[in-house]
Amino acid sequence: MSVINTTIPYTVGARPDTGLYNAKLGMWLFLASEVMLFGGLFSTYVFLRMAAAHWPAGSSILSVPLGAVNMVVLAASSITMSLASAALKDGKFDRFRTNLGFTILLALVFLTVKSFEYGMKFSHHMYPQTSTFLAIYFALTGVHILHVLGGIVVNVYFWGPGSRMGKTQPRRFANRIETAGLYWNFVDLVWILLFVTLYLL
Amino acid sequence: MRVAFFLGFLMARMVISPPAARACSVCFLGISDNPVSAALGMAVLCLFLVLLAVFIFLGKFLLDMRKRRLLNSKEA
Repeated sequence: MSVINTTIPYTVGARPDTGLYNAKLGMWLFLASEVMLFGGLFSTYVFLRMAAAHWPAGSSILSVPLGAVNMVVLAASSITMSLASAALKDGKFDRFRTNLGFTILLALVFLTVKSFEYGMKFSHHMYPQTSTFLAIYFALTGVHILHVLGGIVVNVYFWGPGSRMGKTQPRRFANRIETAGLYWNFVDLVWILLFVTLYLL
Repeated sequence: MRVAFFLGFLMARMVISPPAARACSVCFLGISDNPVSAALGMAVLCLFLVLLAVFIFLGKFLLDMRKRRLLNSKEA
């Protein structure tokens, strides 16, 4: 039995014609599909809002301070994610783990605040079926929460067992963290848009 | 074969009697000043803008790729 030994090209260096390594190209394409997913949901929001005879002000139903706290928390987690990526590129592995740990912690804070917010709604008997506004609110924020959860799973993996690659293939691992950072910044950006459209407008 | 026949039948049915094709997505029941029609128009515009942004991004990426390839071939 013969064993074919192949190495995947462009996992570390950029491909000459695209100027990107594999993971980054894949992430940009994934983010393009994510933009279309959220674009569809936002256009649904536009439709429901414009077609409704009466649309409540977001601030009259939702807690603006809690939404703002979550925005600050996610923005801070984006900063720590970028710091983690930068630390890895400088070869400071301990600093990378500390910053990624803070990112995970801040993401958990975000989820805690969000679950508190959801709990408040449920305790007032406000469910998705209560009104169109709440239906689109739960749909948009629910999909966003799934993305935050996905980001946490990836970051926990890179913080824990996945970090072994940082010792054996540091440049490849730095690329992975940079790519995860791109995704995390996207998740943060989506929350800013959600906060403005649902809570403030 | 049966599946092909079924699909063919469905298509023929749609061509012969196309009420769904004639249904106007912009003005429901022909009421163009209906708020639902205006809302749907805005939603379609919103979705179109998102798609346009993605296509611009992809187009720019392809142009950049072409530029890089030309540069690389010149250097080589």
